[in-house]
Amino acid sequence: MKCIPRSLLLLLCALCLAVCAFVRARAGGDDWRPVTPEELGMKTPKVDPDADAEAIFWEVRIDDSSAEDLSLQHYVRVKIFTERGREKYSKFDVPFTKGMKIKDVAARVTKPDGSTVEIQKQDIFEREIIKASGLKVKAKSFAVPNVESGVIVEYRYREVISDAGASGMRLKFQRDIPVQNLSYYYKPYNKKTPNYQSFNFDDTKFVEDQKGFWIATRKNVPALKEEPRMPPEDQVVPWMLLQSVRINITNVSLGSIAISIKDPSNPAIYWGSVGTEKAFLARFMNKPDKEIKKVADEITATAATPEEKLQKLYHYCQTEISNTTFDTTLTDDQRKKLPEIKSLSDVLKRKAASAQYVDMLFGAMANALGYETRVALCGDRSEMFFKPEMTNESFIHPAAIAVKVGEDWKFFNPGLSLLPYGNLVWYEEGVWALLVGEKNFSWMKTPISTAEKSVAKRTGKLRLLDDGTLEGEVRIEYADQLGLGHKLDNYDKSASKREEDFKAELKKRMSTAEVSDLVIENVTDPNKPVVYAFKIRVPGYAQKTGKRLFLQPGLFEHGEPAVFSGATRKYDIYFHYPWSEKDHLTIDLPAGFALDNADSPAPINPAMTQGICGETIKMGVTTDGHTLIYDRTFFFGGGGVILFPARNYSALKTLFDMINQANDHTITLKQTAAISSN
Amino acid sequence: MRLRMLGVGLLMLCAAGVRAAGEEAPVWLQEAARVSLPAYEKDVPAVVLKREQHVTVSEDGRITTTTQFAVRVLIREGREYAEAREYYESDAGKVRELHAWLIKSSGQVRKYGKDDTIDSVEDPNDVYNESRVKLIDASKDADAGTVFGYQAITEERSIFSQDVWAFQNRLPAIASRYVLTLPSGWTARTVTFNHPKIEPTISGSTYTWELLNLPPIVPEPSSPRVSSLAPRLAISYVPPGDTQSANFKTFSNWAEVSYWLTQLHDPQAVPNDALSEKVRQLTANAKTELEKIRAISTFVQGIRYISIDIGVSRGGGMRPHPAMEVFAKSYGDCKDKANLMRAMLKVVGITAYPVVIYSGDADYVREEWASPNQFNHCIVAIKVSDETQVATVLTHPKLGRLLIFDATDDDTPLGDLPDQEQGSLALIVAGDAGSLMRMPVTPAETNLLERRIQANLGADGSLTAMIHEKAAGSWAVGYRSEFRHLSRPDYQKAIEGWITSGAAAARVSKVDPRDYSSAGRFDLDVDFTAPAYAQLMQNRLLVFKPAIVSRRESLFLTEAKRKHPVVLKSNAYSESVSVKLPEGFVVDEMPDPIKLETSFGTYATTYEAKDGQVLFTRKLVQHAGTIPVEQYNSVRSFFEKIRAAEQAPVVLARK
Repeated sequence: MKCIPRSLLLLLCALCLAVCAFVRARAGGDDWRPVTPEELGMKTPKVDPDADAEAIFWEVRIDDSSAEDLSLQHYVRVKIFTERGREKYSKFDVPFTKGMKIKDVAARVTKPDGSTVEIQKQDIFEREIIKASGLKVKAKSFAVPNVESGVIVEYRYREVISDAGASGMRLKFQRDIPVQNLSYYYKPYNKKTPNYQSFNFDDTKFVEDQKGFWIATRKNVPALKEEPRMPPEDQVVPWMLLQSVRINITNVSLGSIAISIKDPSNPAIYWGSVGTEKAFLARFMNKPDKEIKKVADEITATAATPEEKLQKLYHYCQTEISNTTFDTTLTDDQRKKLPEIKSLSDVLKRKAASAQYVDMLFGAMANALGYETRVALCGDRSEMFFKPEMTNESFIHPAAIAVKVGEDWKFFNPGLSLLPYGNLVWYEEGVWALLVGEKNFSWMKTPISTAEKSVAKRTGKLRLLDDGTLEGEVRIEYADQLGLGHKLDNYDKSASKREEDFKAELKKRMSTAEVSDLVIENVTDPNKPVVYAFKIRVPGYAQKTGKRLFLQPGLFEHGEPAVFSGATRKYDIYFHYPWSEKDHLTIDLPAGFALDNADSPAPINPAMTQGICGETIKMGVTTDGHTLIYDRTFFFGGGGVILFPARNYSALKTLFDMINQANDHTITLKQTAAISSN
Repeated sequence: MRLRMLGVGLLMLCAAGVRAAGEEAPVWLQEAARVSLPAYEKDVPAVVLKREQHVTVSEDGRITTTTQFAVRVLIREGREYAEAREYYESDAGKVRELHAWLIKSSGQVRKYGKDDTIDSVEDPNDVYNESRVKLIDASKDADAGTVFGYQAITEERSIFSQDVWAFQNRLPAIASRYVLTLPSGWTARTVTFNHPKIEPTISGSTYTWELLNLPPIVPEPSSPRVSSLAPRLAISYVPPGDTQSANFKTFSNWAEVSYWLTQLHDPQAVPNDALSEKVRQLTANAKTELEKIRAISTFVQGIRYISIDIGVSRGGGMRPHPAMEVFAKSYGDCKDKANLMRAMLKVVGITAYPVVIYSGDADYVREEWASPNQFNHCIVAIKVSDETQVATVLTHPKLGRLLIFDATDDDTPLGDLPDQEQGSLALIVAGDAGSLMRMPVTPAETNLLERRIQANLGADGSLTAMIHEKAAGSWAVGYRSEFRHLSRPDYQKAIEGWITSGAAAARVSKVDPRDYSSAGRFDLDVDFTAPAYAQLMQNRLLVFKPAIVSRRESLFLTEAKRKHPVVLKSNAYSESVSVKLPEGFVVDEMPDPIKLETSFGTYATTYEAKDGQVLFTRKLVQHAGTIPVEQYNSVRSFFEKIRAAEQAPVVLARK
C-alpha cells in the first residue's frame, strides 16, 4: 500500500497551481503524435466559440505500479486562437522539489502550414525559485518560440515522485481552457482495479485500456468560468479522488490488536472505522476528572435549566480561558512554544489553550455535569457540500462539541472566541456532522440560523439641507452571522485600520461621504452585535433642480451595485447564510421645501417568493410635515433556502433587480412659494 | 495583580535594556530602539528608526555594502515592514551576511539568521534572470510596539561607479544616511533630487549624507509617484584627477552614456536574410514612410514579451539579444523589441535609435545626473521626414525629427505613447549625438472619447438605449487593453457591469467592440434596455438622469486637505444624448447648464427640449499637468461640480 505523504500532497497542489500547463511524454515512446490536417485547419474553437485557446487533448498518465515511485506523464496539445491564448501558452514553468524529478521536457509549435519548431535543450533553464531552511523549489522554465494565433502548441514532460503513491490524488476533469479530450490513464499498484470516487459528474468511469492502464475520458469539456455567488470550486468542477482500502491499527494491548478497515466503497464501514479511530478524542474529552467536575459544578451552581448551565459553561470557556488561537498578541513562534496540554485539567490550571482545547474543555465540563457529549466532525460549506456517502475523512474536521439535551443534539464551538452561544460559523451550519463518542458515532445535520437572527439594524437621525446635503448621526448593528463576519474581518486589525476600512467601504457607495466621530464597538465581544456609530455628511446626496429636491431615503442602500449584472448564468447561485435588515431613518426636511410625493415602493411579499425573501418599505411624515420617517425591513434565505439552481437565475435576478429598484426609490420635495419669494 | 506585574515588567525592561534570555540586539539597534518619536497620524503604520547604507569601494572593482535598518511598528498593520530584503546578482555578487532581530515591547529579543532566510528569484515571471533576493520575514512575530532591525553585508562587482540612494519610502524616517568610503584620493559628486542639496560630512575618504526626521509620504489619489517625492541622492565617484577607472565606468555627461549604450546596442541590430525577407513582405504594400514604419511596428509589437537576462552585472541587462535571434524565436524583452525594430527599419532604409526611459514615473529621470542607472525600459526613436505627421514626433537638435514608439506596450499603437512615458526625460542612444530629450505629450483632443446615446423613454419609466462610442488616444488604449486582456465572456460581464451601474437592472442585448489599432481608435456599440430607468411619481412625474452611464474614468477628490500636488493626464470627453420622451409627457424641469473653465481643464453641459426629445451634452477637456497643492481646492471643486452635474435629473410631467 502506498500513499502520497500529506506534506508532499500539499506541496504538489501548490506546485500544480504554479504550473501554466502540464505536459507528458507519450507512453512507451518520446515521439510526438502526428498532428492531423483537421487540427491544423481548425479556424474556430470546437467546444467554446469564445475560447482563446482550446486543448485538442490533455492527457495525464499515472503509473502507480512501482512499489517505490509514482510517475506522472503529461502530454497536452493546444490550438491557439487569439492573442490571449498566445499569451497563456508562450512561457512555462514546471516546478519541482526534493524527491521529485522532471524528465523528458519537450515542447514544439506546429504552424498552420504543418512546419514545426521544437524547443532546443539550451533554451530550457533550470531555476532555483526559492530556497529556505532545507526546502528548495526549482523549476524547469522555457519560452516557446513562434507562438501566434493559429498554431498548435504541444508540451510534454514526466514527473517522478519518490516513495509516493496515487491514493489521495485529485483528478480534475475540467481545466481553465476548454478541452476536446481530457484523459487520465491510471495503472494502479499491484494490478488492482481503480478505486475512486467521482464528484459533480457521473458520466465518466475508468475502463480498462492497454498495458495495465485504465482510462477515464471526458470529451468537449468547457473551461471553468468564475461567476459571482457561485458554489465553491470543489462543488462545481468535475473531479475524481483516487483512493485505496486501508487497514489501521487502532489499539495494541497485551494479547490483542485492534484494527479498523477503511473501505471507501462502503460508507458504513468506512465511517465506522473513522469513528473508531477518532474515538480517542471523545475519550480524551470525557475522561473523568475531579477538578473539572468541581469547576463545572461551581460555574453552574445557580443555573436552573440545561440551557442556563450550558450557557454558563460556554461563557466561562470564552471569558476565563485565554484562547491562544485568537490572541493577537501571540506570534506563531510563541504559539509553537506553548506547553503541551496532556489533559484538560491542564487547561483549567493554565487558564489558556488553543481553540480546540477550549472546545474540549467545554465538552468535558458538560460531560462532568452528566450530559452526553461527542466531538462533532463537520463538513465545510466553504469548500464543498459534504454528504456522508463521500467517503474521505479529509472532508470533515473537528468543528464543535455536540451535547445531548433531552432528545436533541446541540452544537457548541466556544473555541471560536468571537462566536456567540448557540451559533456555529456559517460554513459549519447546515452541514453533515459525524458525532464521535467514546464507543459509538452517529450522523447529524447541524442547524442553520434564521434570517431574523443575522440581522443588520440600521438607524439614522438625519437632516437634509436645501442644497441637497444630507447629514446626521447613524448607528449600524450587525448580529449573528453578519456580526461574526465583521468580527472575523476586524478582530486582528488596529483601531485606525478598522476605521479606514469602514470609511473606504462607505466611499465605494457614496464617494462624497464624510465620516466623523466614528466609534466601532464589540469587535471582540462574542455576545454583542458589532456596532458602527458615526456622523455622516454627504454633499450632493439629494439632486436639486430649480424647484425640487429628489431624495433617495434609503441611505444604507444608496450606491449599492446590482447583485447580479450578467444576463446568463452557468452555475448555481449560492448565498452563504440567510440574513435580514431593519432600517429606521428620520430625515428632517429643509425649510422652504415640502413633500411633493412620498409614495412607498410596492412591497415584495414573501408569498411571492415562497417565503424565501420579502421587503417592505414604509414612508411617512410627522404631523408637522417637517420630518420624513423611513422604515425598511428585508430578509433573504427564509426556510434556510440559500442555494438556487442555475435555471432559476433569471427569476432570481429579476427579484434582486426589483429589490434594487425599491431601495433606490426616490421621493420629491417641492420648494414652497413662501421660500421662493424670499 | 495585573498592574503589579506590569510594573515589575517595566522595571525589568529598564534594567535589562533590550536583552532577553540568550539573545541580545546589537548596540546600533538598541540605540535606534531608544529614540523618542514625534507624534504621527494614527494611521501611520510604522516609522523607520534607522536606514543606513555604508558602501565601501575598492580600486579593484569590488563593492562591499553594509546595510543597517531599523523600524518600529506603530500599529498592527505595520507588521509587514518587519522584513529584511537584500537583492543581489547571482553572477557577480552575494549576500555575505544577513542577520535580523526583533525587539518586542517586553524587551525580549529574537534573532533571525540563516535558518530563517529565504533565497528566491527576484522576478519569478522571467524565464531566466540572475537577480535574486535574500529575505527574512519577521512580520508574523511583530506587532504594534515591536522594533525590527537587520544588518546585511553584500559584495558585488559593479560596472558603474554610480549609485542611487532613496532616503525614505512612504514611511517616516528618523535617521536616514548614505555613507561612502572610497579608495584614497577618489572623490564623490552627488545630485540631490526632491530635496534641497544635501551636503556630506567628509572624514578622510568617507562621505556621509544624512537626513533626519523625514515625515511620512501619505498616499493620495492622483498624486505624484513616491519616487518623485522622496528625497533621493545620485552619486558618482571617480579616481584622482577625474580619470576613468579600469574597473568602473563613470559618466560625466549624457553623450558619454549614449556612446556607451550605443556600443552595446549597435552590434546587435544587424538584419540577416530571413529578417530582410520578412521586412520586404511586411512593407510590400506600404506606400509611405509612415505605412512602412507602421507595418514593422505592428509586427514587432506582436512579438511576445519574454525576458531572459544573463550577465546582468556585466551589462547584460542593457544589451539586447541579436535581432535575428529575437526574430527567429519571436520573443524578447523591451530592448530586444526596440533592437529588432531598428534592424527591420534598417532594411527599408530608415534609421532608428534605442531610447532608454524610466517606465512608471514620468518625473523620475533628471537631467542633472548622467547615468544609465536612471532607466528601466527601452523604446525606440525613428528618424522620419516631414511627410510623417503624428503626435509623438519630437525634433532632436542633431538627429532631426524622431518618431517615438514603445514596441513593448502592445495596446499603444504607433503615433501614441503610454501615459507614464509621456513628458518623461529619456535618452536617445545615438553615439556622440545622443542626448536626453523630453518625450512628447499628446494633446487632450487626441485622447478623446466621443459618445452618442439615442434613447427612448417609456411612460412606465423603461429605457431603451443605443450607445455608440468612438475612443481615440489614451481612451482607445484603455478600451483596447480591456478588450484584449479579458476573455470574451469576462469582457461582456465588464460591459454589463458598467451599464448596470448607471441603469439598474439593465439587460444588455448587444456588445459590439471594434478595434482599429493602427488608426489609434476603438469603437464600441452597446444596446440595452432598463425596465425602470426613470421613476414614475404619483403617476404624474417621470424623473430620470440624462447622464445615463458613467464616463468610466472619474477622479474623486473627497479629502478636504491635501499634502501633494494633483497629477492630471491629458484627456477629453464628449457626449451627446437624445432621449425621446413618452407620449403624454412634457418637460417640467431641466437642470441648469454649467460651464467650468480653469487652467487645467474645461467642462460644460447643455440641456434642450426639442421635438419631443431631451437633448443633453457634456464635454470635458483635461490638460496634462501637475497642479500645486495650493490649488487643490480649485481642482477638487472642479471635479465635485462635474460629479454633481452628472447626477442632475430631468423632470417630466404628464400633460
